[in-house]
Amino acid sequence: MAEDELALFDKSINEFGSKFINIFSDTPCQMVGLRDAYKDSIKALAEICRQNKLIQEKKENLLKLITEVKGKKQELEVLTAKIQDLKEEYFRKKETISSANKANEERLKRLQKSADLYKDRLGLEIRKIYGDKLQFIFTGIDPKHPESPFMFSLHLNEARDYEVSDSAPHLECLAEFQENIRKTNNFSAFLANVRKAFTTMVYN
Amino acid sequence: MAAFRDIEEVSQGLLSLLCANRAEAQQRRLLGRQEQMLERLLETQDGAEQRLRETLAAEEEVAQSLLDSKERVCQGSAELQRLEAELGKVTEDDARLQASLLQLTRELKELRELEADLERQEREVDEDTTVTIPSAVYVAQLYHRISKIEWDYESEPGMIKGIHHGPSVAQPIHLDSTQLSKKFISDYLWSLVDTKW
Repeated sequence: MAEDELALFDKSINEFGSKFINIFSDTPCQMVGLRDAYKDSIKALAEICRQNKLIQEKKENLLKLITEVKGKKQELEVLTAKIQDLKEEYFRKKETISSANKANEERLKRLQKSADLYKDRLGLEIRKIYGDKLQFIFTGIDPKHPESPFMFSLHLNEARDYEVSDSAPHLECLAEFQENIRKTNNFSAFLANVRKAFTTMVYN
Repeated sequence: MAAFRDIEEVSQGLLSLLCANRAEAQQRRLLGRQEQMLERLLETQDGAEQRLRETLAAEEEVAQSLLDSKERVCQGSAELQRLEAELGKVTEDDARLQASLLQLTRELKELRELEADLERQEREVDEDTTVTIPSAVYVAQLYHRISKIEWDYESEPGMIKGIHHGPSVAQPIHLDSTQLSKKFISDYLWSLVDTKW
């Protein structure tokens, strides 16, 4: 019996021994595998860390950019409104200017027409010249040279009196006329007399 | 001799008894040692199995941790992609808005230039209204004051029609300019104007 038991015992030990050897002969590979898996795990964690930092960075960038975009949108709105307002204002101004211009043009045309009629028919041109002077130019005085001008200038001096000057050709009686107009303020007679004087001068 | 043989038998009998006792003790010792060895075997087996279990558990833990980490890396990648896409979109928006702003700024500048032009035009109109027209009015009024003549602007072309407002009477004027010389006309018209101061 002891023999059997010993044989059994021997068998047990051998079985265990071989099983042990089989299993743990793989152990180096298993350990290496485990170590590699562990290393991979560490690498993965490092990657996660890196990713997280990157994600944080990008989130910050995104937020900044979104804020900028918002600001630009507002600026755009403000500009658009301003431009619209200005456009409307300028449109109105343009209209106003246009109609005022038109009215002025028409008025000036009428006034010019009127002045031309007088100038043409009376043979008298009235001009404003430098020094706040009025220049009176007669034509149609000399029958031989109807286009030749007979002129003089008039202005108000410091004493607010009429003052004649620069008559061409020279008229002696102009001084007398000056006195008369200062006294009577009769512009009409003044010019009629000057014309008469010029005409008389030509006939002499 | 028979007695010697008896003593031999007895002493062999006794020896065998003694040997038997030693064998028993030895057997007991051997059994004891066998028990010890069995115990040690079982212990060793248990210990080995425990180590094995621990190793497997560690493997599982690390593998799971690795899987989890890989999963998180995946998610992180996806998140990064999402962020990248959104950044791209917002950057586009930004560029678009910037271009619009530039465009509008240019438009505003043009409008300002227009404003300057309009102001210039306004000044011209103003000058017409405050200087040019009053001046022309003054001259027209002066002619009227000098000649005391009012023209009929509706007369047929070539006809000079109007009224001279004398001191007492108003004299109508009706001349055919096609039949008369300019000098005659001007002389005639001036003859209507009173030279009396």
